[in-house]
Amino acid sequence: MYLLEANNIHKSFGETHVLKGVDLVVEEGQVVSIIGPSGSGKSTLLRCMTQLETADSGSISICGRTMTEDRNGTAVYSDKNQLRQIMLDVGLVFQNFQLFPHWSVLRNLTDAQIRVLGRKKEEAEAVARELLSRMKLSEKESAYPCQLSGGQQQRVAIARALAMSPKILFFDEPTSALDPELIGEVLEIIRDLARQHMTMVIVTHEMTFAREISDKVMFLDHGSVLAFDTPEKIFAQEAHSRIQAFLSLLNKK
Amino acid sequence: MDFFFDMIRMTPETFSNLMNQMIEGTWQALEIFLYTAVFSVPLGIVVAVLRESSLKPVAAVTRFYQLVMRGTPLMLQLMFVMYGPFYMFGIGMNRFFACILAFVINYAAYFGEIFRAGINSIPRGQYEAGQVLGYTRSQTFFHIVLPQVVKRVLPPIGSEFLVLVKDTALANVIAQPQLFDVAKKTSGSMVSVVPLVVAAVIYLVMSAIVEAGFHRAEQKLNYYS
Ligand SMILES: Nc1ncnc2c1ncn2[C@@H]1O[C@H](COP(=O)(O)OP(=O)(O)O)[C@@H](O)[C@H]1O
Ligand SMILES: [Mg+2]
Repeated sequence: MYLLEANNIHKSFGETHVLKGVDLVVEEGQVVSIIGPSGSGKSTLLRCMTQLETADSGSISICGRTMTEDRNGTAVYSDKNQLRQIMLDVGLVFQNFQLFPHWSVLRNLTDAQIRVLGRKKEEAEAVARELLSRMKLSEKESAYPCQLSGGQQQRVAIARALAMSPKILFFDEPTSALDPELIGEVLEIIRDLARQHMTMVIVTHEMTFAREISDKVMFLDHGSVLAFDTPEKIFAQEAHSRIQAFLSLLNKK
Repeated sequence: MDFFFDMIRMTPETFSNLMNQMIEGTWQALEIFLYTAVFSVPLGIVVAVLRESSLKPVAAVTRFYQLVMRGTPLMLQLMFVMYGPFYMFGIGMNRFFACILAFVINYAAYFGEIFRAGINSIPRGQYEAGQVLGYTRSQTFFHIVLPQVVKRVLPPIGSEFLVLVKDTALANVIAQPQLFDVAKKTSGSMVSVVPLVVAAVIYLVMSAIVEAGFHRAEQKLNYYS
């Protein structure tokens, strides 16, 4: 039983065929990393999983709920209620954080809990404070996002997603917008989540991190899955030549 | 004090009589200003949303309405709203109502553009972040997007409000009593420049108050960027 199961996902923007039949399965508690060259469709894949884009064809189900089914090569989406339920099981962390700038850190973490999940204010604040302490940001609860460093903002964004108790958390290049010295603190938080068996799908260019944290790694190239395997296999010497070329290019940088 | 009344060539009685009329006119101008402000700003948000509608005809009709409102004289629009219904259908309009209606639909067209620019300046990612957290579309708009829009549109809205303070004088074309009307009539009957100067000072003071209000509001919203 997979927590996420996506089969044969196709997605085009006009003439550009971006996803060409992508399969992705994630078991509960697994960490899956998606790597691949820029423009290969990693973000688009994540956006299809989080309902920010609609797939053209293929099927997706999350936590046993069908998001979309394939009928004769067309993705048929479930009804609004079902899609909303699925949305509540899913969290997404953006490359550029997307915190709400007009709200304090605490409000960023509590508002959706109260407004969307209907939690009591006290309960929401307790959840938020607990998460902030895990993020080592307790003293920042009344700060505004613009007063925080990029690394701190991304940790708040992760906490904001976690506050909604998602069953699966997606990350789209969570450290790509950060200064090099701030990357470590964000990766440390994600490692910590992995230790607690949070189910995660992470698009990243941090290869050492991907290798160490992932149960499975997907290599996406031009919208097709070149490999989906354990990190040992993916990063092995005898891996696919495209993968080796990509990795050596990254190492040169 | 005597020197003052000599200088303006008025007795204290005439002057105080004039000031009473001026205060009355100021109050009437303020009424036009306040009603217009209260109704045209929310309507401006509606106009902005309709203009950005994915339904092409809705967007097109909204754009045409804005073109007419911004492309013809407000004075003419006032006349049209006040007398048009009578000439065309024999319907007599309440003067004050016609006045407010004309101002509101005119200003809403301008506010529509200001809000449209404001709404379009909010990154898509903010909507997406709201959506992924499970907010409904309207929750995302009203709680996440609109507050940020308000901060960004405050300067141009403030500028329009200053124009509106002075535009209340245009109500004169439909004989709606207000400050300018009083100034014009009294300066004529008294053969004196004093009413004009007093009116100018009052308009300036009203503008200064509006400007100060917006300045304060901007500072209050300066807690984030
Ligand atoms: N909304 C869109 N409209 C048109 N083309 C898009 C859109 N989003 C992505 N693309 C195109 O899809 C391709 C894959 O993009 P993306 O998924 O962002 O790749 P990656 O995240 O791997 O860098 C790119 O060629 C990009 O230009
Ligand atoms: Mg991307």
